[in-house]
Amino acid sequence: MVAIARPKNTFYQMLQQWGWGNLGLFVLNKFLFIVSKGNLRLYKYYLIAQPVAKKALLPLGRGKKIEVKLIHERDEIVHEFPRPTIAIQERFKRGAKCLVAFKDGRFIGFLWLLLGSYQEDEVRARYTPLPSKQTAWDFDVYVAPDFRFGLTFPRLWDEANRLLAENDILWSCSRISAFNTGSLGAHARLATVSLGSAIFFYAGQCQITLASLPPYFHFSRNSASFPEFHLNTEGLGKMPLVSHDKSSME
Amino acid sequence: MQHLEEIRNILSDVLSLGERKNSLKEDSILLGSIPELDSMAVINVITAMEEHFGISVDDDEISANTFETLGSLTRFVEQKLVE
Repeated sequence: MVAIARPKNTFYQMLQQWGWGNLGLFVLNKFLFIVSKGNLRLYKYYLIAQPVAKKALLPLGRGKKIEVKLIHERDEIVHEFPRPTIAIQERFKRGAKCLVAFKDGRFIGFLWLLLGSYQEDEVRARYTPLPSKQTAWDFDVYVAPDFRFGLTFPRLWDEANRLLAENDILWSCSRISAFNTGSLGAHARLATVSLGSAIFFYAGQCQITLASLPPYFHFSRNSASFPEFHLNTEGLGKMPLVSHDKSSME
Repeated sequence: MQHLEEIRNILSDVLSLGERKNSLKEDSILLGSIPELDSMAVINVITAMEEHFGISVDDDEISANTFETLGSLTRFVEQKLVE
């Protein structure tokens, strides 16, 4: 039974939410990172798909004070994003769409969508959602700290789902860190389906990838070499939905 | 806190707490202690409370302070009931 009287046992809570496997990897990563001064590190991602919801997450009338709009790359608001300018420019260059949430004119969050392949910027990997005409990629869902408990996250997703549905998109794929509890939990409530997982181990410039889906194993010596994951959502609607124990809301 | 038991039952039902419900006391921390209670689940808790108590909660009243403990949530509802 989980102790909910006090937040006193962080370790137990992490174990409860992550399981022994992910907790072990998390501890191992911290250990490797410290002893190698950053040369050795590992990442574990869940590759997931969520259906484009036809029903709004927010009840009628809720979230109306939060304005969500699609912006273009020259919009001044991008300078308020807690991300490097060059990363933002690169996203737009690759055709990504950015939905931004405002409350009383103040920037409070964003969500990015992409039709086509997504080149990972944390590790060397490429994700290709399939079928391309009915599957999108969503990434970097951010909600400002003061608004993380409010309606911003579902409001952003309601607008994203509306936009995706307008473009006949049925599924949106994404990758979630196995060590990000907030993101795992939030996506679990979006009826996500697990497509697999991948572990990326870095030793200096070398990257070793072990995945539960093709290509299963990949060795990379430089940024020109990376595994490509084809995330096929064809027929997913006929499978039972899996509630994962998993905004990146960082 | 005459409505504490009702709030506890609503939380338990909406979040499917099972036996964990029994350890919820007035000073029990909710946020950060119950993994199921995130911004998505909060909407369902608010909706359930509105229906059960016949109250109306404005978007701006949904805050981390209100949901900090079972006691703070109960006080919020009881305040709404006398408005």
